[in-house]
Amino acid sequence: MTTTEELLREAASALRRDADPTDVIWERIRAEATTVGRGSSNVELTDPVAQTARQRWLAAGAVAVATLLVVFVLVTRSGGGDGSQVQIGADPDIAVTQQQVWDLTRAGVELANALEIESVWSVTAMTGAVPDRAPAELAAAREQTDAALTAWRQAVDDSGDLVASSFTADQITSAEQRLAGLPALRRSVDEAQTNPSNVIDIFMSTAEAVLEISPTLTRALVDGEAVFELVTIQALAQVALAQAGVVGSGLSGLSYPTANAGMADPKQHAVEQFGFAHDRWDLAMRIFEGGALPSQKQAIRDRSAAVLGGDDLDQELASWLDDVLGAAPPDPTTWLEQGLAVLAVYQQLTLDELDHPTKPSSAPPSAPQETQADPMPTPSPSGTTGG
Amino acid sequence: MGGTGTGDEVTQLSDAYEHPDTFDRDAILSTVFRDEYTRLVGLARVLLDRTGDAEECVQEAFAQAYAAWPRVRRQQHPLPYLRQSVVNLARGGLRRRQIARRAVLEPAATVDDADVRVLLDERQRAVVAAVRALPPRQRECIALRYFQDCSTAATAATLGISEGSVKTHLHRGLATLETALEDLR
Repeated sequence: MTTTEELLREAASALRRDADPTDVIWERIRAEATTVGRGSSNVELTDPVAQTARQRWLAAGAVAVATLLVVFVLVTRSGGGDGSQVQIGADPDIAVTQQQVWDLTRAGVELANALEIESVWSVTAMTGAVPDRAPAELAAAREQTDAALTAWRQAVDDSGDLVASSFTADQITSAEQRLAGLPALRRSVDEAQTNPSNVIDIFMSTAEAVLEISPTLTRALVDGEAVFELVTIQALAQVALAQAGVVGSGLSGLSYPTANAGMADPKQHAVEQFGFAHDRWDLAMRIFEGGALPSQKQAIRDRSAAVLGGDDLDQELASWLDDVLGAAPPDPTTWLEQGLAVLAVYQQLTLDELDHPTKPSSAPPSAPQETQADPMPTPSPSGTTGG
Repeated sequence: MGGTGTGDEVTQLSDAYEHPDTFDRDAILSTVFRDEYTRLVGLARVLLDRTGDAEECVQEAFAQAYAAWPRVRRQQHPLPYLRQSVVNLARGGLRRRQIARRAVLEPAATVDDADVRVLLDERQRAVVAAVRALPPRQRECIALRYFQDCSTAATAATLGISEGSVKTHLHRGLATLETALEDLR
């Protein structure tokens, strides 16, 4: 009688047939590895923690690099690239401007954070998950959003010339147009006039419109370190936003027969939405890691791992949606709580970065950034998306 | 020359790697390529739902290791890095194909693609199908243990989970396979 282990080893041996490590293959690997866009200068983009195709890595890197290039151009045009060294706080007018940038960015991040939480509780309420908590939590989330919106509008009003440029003014107008739809969106949620996927999309695009204002403010900064800090904050905020999408689409997916009722293929829609949310998170994290300092990257890994505790809820959900034999859906309450906990980590990290020493109030001459070897990241094959 | 034969913590380093002053990327990786390529392809073939992609997956892992050499060389041996890459690339590819498959409403993939028909007999195909049908974490633990000969510790390190979790996934996976493969024994 053959044991299961013997069957496995027999199959393993058979699967290795015809896989010969020929010189031709090796030369092809070397050629591929040394093509443009790869190589030791690109170690971050080729790390095995990546779970997506190389093309996406490169795309993420390209976006990050392009962002930084735009920032440098803006800085140069605003006077920081003329060879003179301008210290934070050295010029009172500059210090005031940077404080305004920080204040407006913080108000935008806090509004985006509130929108993210409201989106999750809106989907929770619509799908009927956690019915004992959803109504009260949704009401509280809406109050929080309203308060954050008032504060953000006040910050815009207090920004003076900072938001006078046409580029920034257009972004603010775009954000206001999105925000104006909030009451209608809430009515749709309350009256179940739409599906959770639409709700997630609208909340995401609204929060994104608010967050997109910050990059337009970099032209007001003349300190390179502050510019990089702002870019990092923006990237972290996008990770948080993507995490909210993962949590919401997961909740929607868990109840796809009712959540996607009326669609041609409710399950297919759930699979696609969850996949898109997952990919968006992946891209956001790559962009963040492309520009972050090693210590910042390590901080996000440490805190994510601490919250996740080794759980693989997103894999469980993906397996269940993909009909993997024996796969069971995660408990919605567990999914929600875990997802919100991870979301809170990313949101707090973003706010922590706003309190970074480069913020204008500290105003010391910017010291050279300590160089620090980037440790080999601990592979976290599924964990960091949380959800 | 050669790997450990166990695929576990490397005890018999390749000649090139035994001399720290000869950290030559080409020499080391080409040696590891000759020693480990076949077994890594076996691992990828059981993790991927399209066997034909396995060699591409392993070659990509080697290309990544080549490009990320400054980081890879900090490890005792490139093999753990390559294993992680294969598992992660296989997982990413699997997710994309699952989504794509849903999008075009194709039936679920089976193990009767051309490569598998050539490589495996009917019994072996059933074994591979049963392994591929396991939940992802169980599938990866079983694949690393039996298709890559990893110890519990090496499996845990590759997947970034605890050894206790590995044991649990292995136990559950084997229990499922015991039932699924009952007719073959």
